This record gives sequence, structure tokens and C-alpha cells, in this order.
Amino acid sequence: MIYIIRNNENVFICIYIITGILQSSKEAIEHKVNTRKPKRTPSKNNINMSEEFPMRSPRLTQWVAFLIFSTITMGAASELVSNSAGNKMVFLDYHD
Amino acid sequence: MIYFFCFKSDDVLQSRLNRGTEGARGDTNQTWAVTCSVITFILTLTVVVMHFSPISSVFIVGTKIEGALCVFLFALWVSIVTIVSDSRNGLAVDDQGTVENANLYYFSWAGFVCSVTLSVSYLKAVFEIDIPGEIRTRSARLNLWSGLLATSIVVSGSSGNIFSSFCRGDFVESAAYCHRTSFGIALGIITAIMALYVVGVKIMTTRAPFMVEAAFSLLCFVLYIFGVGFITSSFGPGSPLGNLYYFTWLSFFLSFGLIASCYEDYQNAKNVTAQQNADSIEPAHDIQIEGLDAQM
Repeated sequence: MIYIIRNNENVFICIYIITGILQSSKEAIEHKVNTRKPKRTPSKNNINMSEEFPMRSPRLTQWVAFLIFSTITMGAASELVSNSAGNKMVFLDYHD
Repeated sequence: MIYFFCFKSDDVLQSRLNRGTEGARGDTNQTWAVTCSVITFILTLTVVVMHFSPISSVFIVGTKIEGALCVFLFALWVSIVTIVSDSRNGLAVDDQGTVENANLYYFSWAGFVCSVTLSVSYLKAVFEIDIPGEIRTRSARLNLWSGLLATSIVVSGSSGNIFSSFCRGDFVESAAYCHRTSFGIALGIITAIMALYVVGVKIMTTRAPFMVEAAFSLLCFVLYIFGVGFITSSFGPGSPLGNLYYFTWLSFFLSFGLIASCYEDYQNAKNVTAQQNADSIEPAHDIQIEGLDAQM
């Protein structure tokens, strides 16, 4: 047993660290959720999950729009730069 | 085929290579633009994906991480727009400043606007700082003056960029073209200084002297009438569709909005004064009538 532990010391240390991180993350999430819960208790017939856990940002639409714009910009810039590099190679080949 | 392509497009390629990259500096800028856009894409994708899980959204929605990301993305996007719309880098605009790659040009500006709105929305939601509301309610026309300040800076910068590309060095354009470009630089600087003064005074004291504001508005409007005439005409530096064209017209419309708003305020003040004068005269008549009634 001791031999196994000594040989896998690094693995155990890693597992210990990961477990610690997960534990602290879980506690942080629970703390956040508890602090964000509305104080009044909703009736059983009218449970609104979005009210209970208001996790969706009002800026989600803006983030999605930003993602679309950045995707188009990235694609266009990459295409242009690669074309420019290709043209430069052709030009240099021709002059060589 | 390659030889034919090279033979036919030799001059075009030479000019493109000359202006497109400007050596190592242009290459570095192009690489930087692509790197910035890739970083933005990765960060934005991560944020959007994190939004869809309640567990991960806790770490992003309304937190300091989101705020830091907004600020970081805004800074990245400023550099992207600057590089992409610079004709010396050969990305979205050609050597004349004409939009060559519409997707890159318009969507980089759209991303910039989006990063600004994201930052403003975050500030409003988390710190309850309502910047647009503050600007609207702080003082009349502050939003117009702020807009004119921003557009004038772009007009001046774009004109300076064109001036350094075409009015210096080996390839010098005609004298009229360079004079118009110089006029663009001067126009941008003068109107930016006037706008900066009014914005500063309005922020410091919540109201600027009306006569100064009206005089500056009129001067800006007159200057931009000549500006759109000289800069965006067919022989002007802003004739191709690009930053200079769009922002010169935008500045013209903003200065028109300013002078119209000042005129409206002046008319309102005139009407109020006339009404007050009428009110101050009417009681005298009433007393006389009452006196006449008593005598009768």
C-alpha cells in the first residue's frame, strides 16, 4: 500500500488539488445561488425557474451579436492576410 | 497561367505590395489585426457558451470578470478598427481609402459599436451608472457635441493619414488634392477643439453660455458645408467610400442638428419672454377695468 502511494505520489497530489478546487467552486456557486434567491417564497403552483435562478444576462443578445461580428471580422481578416501572402509569393516567384 | 496572371497584374501587385504592407510594419499590423480578432472570437464564444449553463453563468453574469472582459475587448476592438481602416495596412480599405473589403470594414465598426454598448450596459447594470441617461439629462445637446467631437477626430485622423500617404514622398497627388486634405485636417482639429471646449464646460458647469454654443454651432455648420463640398467631391480626398467620406457627412449632420437645436431653444426662449411681457402688461389693464367698473 505504501509502495503504491509513494509511486503515485504526484497523481494523488493532483487529485487532492482538483478535489479542493471543485469543492471551493461548489461552495462559491452555492453561496452565489443562495444570495441571489429572492427572499419571498413562491407558491408551489407558480414556480418560476428564471425568477428563482436569474442566471441569464440581459446582455446575452449583445454578446451573441458581438460573437457574430467578431466571427465575420476574423474570417475576413484571415482570408485577406492569407490571400495577401499568396499574392506576395506569386509575385516573388515571377520576379525570381 | 501563373505567368499570365503575373504579367497582367504585375503593376497591380507591385502597387498592392508597396502600399499593402509597407514592409515589416504592415505585416506586423496585419498579424496583430488577425490575432486580436481571434482572441476576441475565443473570448466571446467562451462567454456565450458560459451563459447557457446556470453553473458557469454564475462566474460571468454581472461579475468583475465580465467587466474586465468588456474593457479588454473594447481596447482590442479599438486597435482592430484602427488597423483595419488604415489604408497603409491594406486590409479593409485600399490605398485611396476606398472600402475594398466591405465585410471587414463594416463588421469591424459594428463590433466596435457593440463593444461600446456592452461596456455601457455593464456599467449601467452593475454600478448603476447610466452614461447615455447622464449625457441626455446633464445638459442639452451634450450628446450631439460629444458625437461631433468623436467624428471630428476621425475626420482629422483620416485626412492626416491620406496626407502622409499622398502628399509626401515619391507619389505626390495634385496641389488641389493636398490642399483639400490639409483643409480636412484643419477642419477636424478646429471643430474638435470647439466641441471639446463645449463638452468640457457642459460637464463642469452643466450649462455652457448659450451665445458661445450658438456661435460654435454656426461656425461648425458653415465649416462642414465647405467640408463636404471640398472633401467629398469627386476630386477630394474623401470621395471614395471610406472613413473620411462617412465621418465628414456624419459631422455635417451633427453640426446641422446642433444649429437646429440652438435655433429651437432660441425660439422657445423668445416665446417665453414674449409671454412674460404679455403677462406683465395684462394686470395693468385689469386694474384699469376694475377702476372703471367701480366708477360706473
